[in-house]
Parts: sequence; structure tokens; C-alpha cells
Amino acid sequence: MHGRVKVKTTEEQAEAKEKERLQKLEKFKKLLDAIHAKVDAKELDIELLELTQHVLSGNPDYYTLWNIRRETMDVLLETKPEDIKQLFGHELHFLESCLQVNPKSYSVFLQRRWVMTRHPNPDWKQELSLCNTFLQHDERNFHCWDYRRFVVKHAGVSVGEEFEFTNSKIKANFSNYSAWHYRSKLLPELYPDPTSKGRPTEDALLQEYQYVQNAFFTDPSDQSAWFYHRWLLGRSIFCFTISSVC
Amino acid sequence: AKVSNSSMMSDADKTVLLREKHVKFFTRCLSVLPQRYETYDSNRMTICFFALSGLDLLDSLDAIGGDRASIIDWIYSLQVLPSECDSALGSTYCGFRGSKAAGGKSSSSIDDCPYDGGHLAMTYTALASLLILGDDFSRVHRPAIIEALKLLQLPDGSFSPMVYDCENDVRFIYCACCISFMLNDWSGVNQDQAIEYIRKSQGYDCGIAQGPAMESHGGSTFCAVASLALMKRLDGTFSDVKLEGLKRWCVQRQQTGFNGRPNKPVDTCYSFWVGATLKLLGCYDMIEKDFNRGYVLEAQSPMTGGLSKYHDTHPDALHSYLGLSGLSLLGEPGLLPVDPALNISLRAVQHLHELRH
Repeated sequence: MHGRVKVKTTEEQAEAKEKERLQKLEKFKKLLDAIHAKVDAKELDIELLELTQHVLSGNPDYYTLWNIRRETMDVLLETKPEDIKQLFGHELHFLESCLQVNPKSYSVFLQRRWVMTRHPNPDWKQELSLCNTFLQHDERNFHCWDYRRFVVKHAGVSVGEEFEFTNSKIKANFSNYSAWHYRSKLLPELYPDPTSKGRPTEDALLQEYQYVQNAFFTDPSDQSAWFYHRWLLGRSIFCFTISSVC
Repeated sequence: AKVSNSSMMSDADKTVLLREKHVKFFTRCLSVLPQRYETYDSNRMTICFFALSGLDLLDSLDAIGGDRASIIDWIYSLQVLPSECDSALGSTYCGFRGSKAAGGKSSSSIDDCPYDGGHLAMTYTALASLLILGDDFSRVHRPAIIEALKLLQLPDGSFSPMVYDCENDVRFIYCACCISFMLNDWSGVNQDQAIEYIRKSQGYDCGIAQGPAMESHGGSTFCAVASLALMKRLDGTFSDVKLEGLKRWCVQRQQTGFNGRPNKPVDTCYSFWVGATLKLLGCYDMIEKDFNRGYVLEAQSPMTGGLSKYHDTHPDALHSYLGLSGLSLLGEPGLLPVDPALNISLRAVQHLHELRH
């Protein structure tokens, strides 16, 4: 009877949890109300950036808040254009933390593109490095591959360099379908057939046959190489003939 | 987070559709969502659609009982009407929102919050939900929605979901086509341009991506093919070689259930995305039906109802609905047949036809 340790019953635990939930909800509502109030009053300032950042770090897919953020940054830069590096530097850092929460967020990558196209000194090397990091985590993250294509275009990375990148990815893992896909886009750009727009040269195709054969001899059950092979067959103009049957 | 569903799943559960459990799951979705869903707060309209259409396929819309009218009112409260203060804006932001999270007040036009405009996916799911609930579209501002579509189509033929700086791809071509089909007004869509974008999005492997240069994907393939079907332009868009390649790529998505891209794990929702594509392409019978059915049924959650993307994980509204939709394509008893292009029950489509006459 005496000295019994008070242990919260399941009912008490549930009540405590509900209280915590309501407190969180209250906090969240206050944040959103504050954001709406500032937007209504047309106060597009640093404080609004802080408030939206608070919500977006937990929920990076809340697209309305990204809209508000972009407009706020535009307004801030109109009055103090010299702040752009600091503002954008902070944004890029924030976006990276958002990607840790959701590496497949349309909104986050979109925001990153928005910042990079306006940055006075864009560090494309850093962006490429970011892509490499995220592709290490998930080599099939198409958001990241798409962002990489955007970066490469702006950074002036050569088609040859990117083709080499697909080499390294495929070497690391033959079943990296996304790398094979990228390769299919790069091949006709790297070795364009002057007589036929969009086609790679015959020599390039022959080279690729060798390359893809290595892949499916190594792992005949992986479909990536077979899809690529089938595509190559469809591209070439010469016909294979059976020279002998053993 | 993993929940050991399979350990609680009896062998019988793996072969039977747990109808009543799913009805309970969807009705719960309509009242409260767990914390995990917080990232969907701005997309609540889509969750509503999954729940309503799920109940419809289960032939259990009566589970919402007297709430039918209030849900319809809620949906209409998300409609963004033309500005009353600035007529120059026209229909710029019109359509439906995902929720009132950003608006604050029960605003009905863009005047209250300039960042809170319509979003194509919300407009599509709102209209579809209204159809499912038997609404007559009398409160839908048709001209505003159609005018908004014109502003959202880009020169390359694709659509953006909103007028703000944002993405554009095949998903929103699909939304625009569904909206146009449901409102029976195609003046907001330049079909030739949209089709050109779709053609350019077909890859070396004959699958279709979100856009040119991007990787072929089961979801975007569905959006492309369904858009063509709704536009009645499926015939003649692809050459024979490309069409056969497309069918082939889709059929090869099946492992047990379906995946969305080669070398990715199978996922319940592709039983619909890829399944419906195959239906529209006329080769659904090429799939192995028992494996497909088996995979989806195993993704059921016997405790809470609903389905998850893989078995042994938490169920969610999207995978629950698309899993059932995928089963409906198989002709699963206990489910109403689904329209593979619009992704609503044939009954709801029938109601749409009745509205037109």
C-alpha cells in the first residue's frame, strides 16, 4: 500500500500524449496564423522567412510557403540587392537540410533551381557535388538525376565528362537503370551522326554493343543492359547475319 | 517504420479482400489523419479523393452517411473564384485548393491570400470527388477553370499545376485532361501541343517519362496514355514499333505485383498505374493475374485496414486506394469496376454522363 511507485496508466499516457499533441497543434496554428497575418499586412521581411522556414523544415512539401518565400526574397533584394549572396547562401544551406528530410521533394529541388538561376556567383561545382552525394545514397533518385542535368547544362560540363560519369555509375552497379537511361541521351550528343539528326554514328553504336555485352555477360539476368541493347539494335542500319551455326 | 503485418496476417487474410477493414480505414481518413500525414496538409483534397473513391469502389459510400452534404460543402469551400478586387487577374488563380491551410479564412477568391491559388491536381480530385458524391457541378465555376487551364499550358505542351514559378510535366497534362473531360470542354487544352510533349517524353526504352530527357516511369506512362485516351487520340500517336515497345516495357514492370521502373521494388500502386495503362493499350490479359492479386492482397493491413506500398509497412490513403483500384482492374469480387483512364468507378462515370443529358 505504502510507497507504491506511481506508474502512469495507459489512460494517463494517452491523455498526456493528447495534451502534447494539442500543444504541438497550438504551436503550429500560431505559426501559420503569424505567417498569414504578415502576408495580409504585406510584411514580406526576414521574420516571414524565419517563420516559413520553421514550418518548411518539418514539412518541405508545403508549396504555398515556398511561393511566399520566393516573393519575400524578391522584395528583400529589391531594397537591398547587396544582401543576395548572404540570403541565397542561407537558402541553399536550408534547402540541403530539407533534402535530408525528403530527398525526393519536387518543391525543394524547384526552389534550388530558382536560387541557382538568380545567384550572381553560382557555385555549380558544389551543386554537382551535392548531386553526387545524393546519388550515392540513392542511385535511382530521379529528382536528383533531373537536377544534375539542369546543373550540367549551366555549369558547362562537357557531354564527354557526363558520359564518363555514367561509366563510373554502371561500373559500380550494372543494374543502375538510371545511368543507362542517361547514357542513351548522351550517346547521340557525344557522337552525332552528321547525316541523321538525333542518331549516334555507326562506330559509336558498335562501341556500345561491346560495352553492353560486357554488362549482360556479367549479369545476364539484369534487364538494364538488355533494354539498352534492344535500343541499340533498333538504331543501327546494318543487318546482323548468321555466319555459321555450330 | 515497419509494422509486422505479415506476422499478424493469417494465410486466409492473404487471399481474401478485407472489405470491412478497408471501409473503416477510409472513413477514418475522412475524419482524422495521423502525424505521419503532416506533409500532406496542403494536399488534403487528394486524401479526400482517395478515401471517397476507395469507399465507392467498395460500394460503401453509405458509410459516410449524413456527412455527404458537408463533405460536398467542404470541397466547394476550396474553390478559388475569380477575383472580386482585381478584374485584370481574370481566372489566373482559379480552380480548387488542396486545403484551407494557407488561406486562413474561408476565402473563396484569391483576394484573401495571393499565394493560395488553385492547383490542377486539387481541381481534378475535387471534381472527381464531387462526381463520386453524386453532386451536379452546379456550384462549379466552369468558365474560370477552363480559362485557368489556358494560362497553365506552356509552349512546349506540358502543364504547370499553378501559375506561380513551378514545375511542369506529364502529370499535369493528365490533370488537365481529366478536368476537361469531366467538364466536357476541351477549349482549355491545346491537344496537339500536349501530344507533342508526350511523344517527346517517350524514351529509348519506349516507356514514357515526366518529360523529355527524363527517365521512363510507370506513373508518368499512365498519365501520358490516359491523357491520350481521354483526348481520344491514343490511336495514331505512336508508331507501331513504339507502341509495341511501350506495351513491352509496361508488361515487364510485373515481377509479382508491379514496379514503376526496372530494377525497383514492386509497389502496390503500380498495380493500378501500370495495370490501367495495359488496359488502355488493350493488352491487360498479358499479365500474370494471380501473382498481381497475391501481391496486392498481401499488402493489406489486417489490423487497421488499408494497404501499404510493400507488405510489412504502414498503410496510407494513396496506396490503399490504388491497391483497390488495381484489384478492381482484375475484376476482384466485392469491388465496383473502375474506369482505367479517369480512375473513378464506372458508376461515377455513368453519373457524369447523366449530368450531360
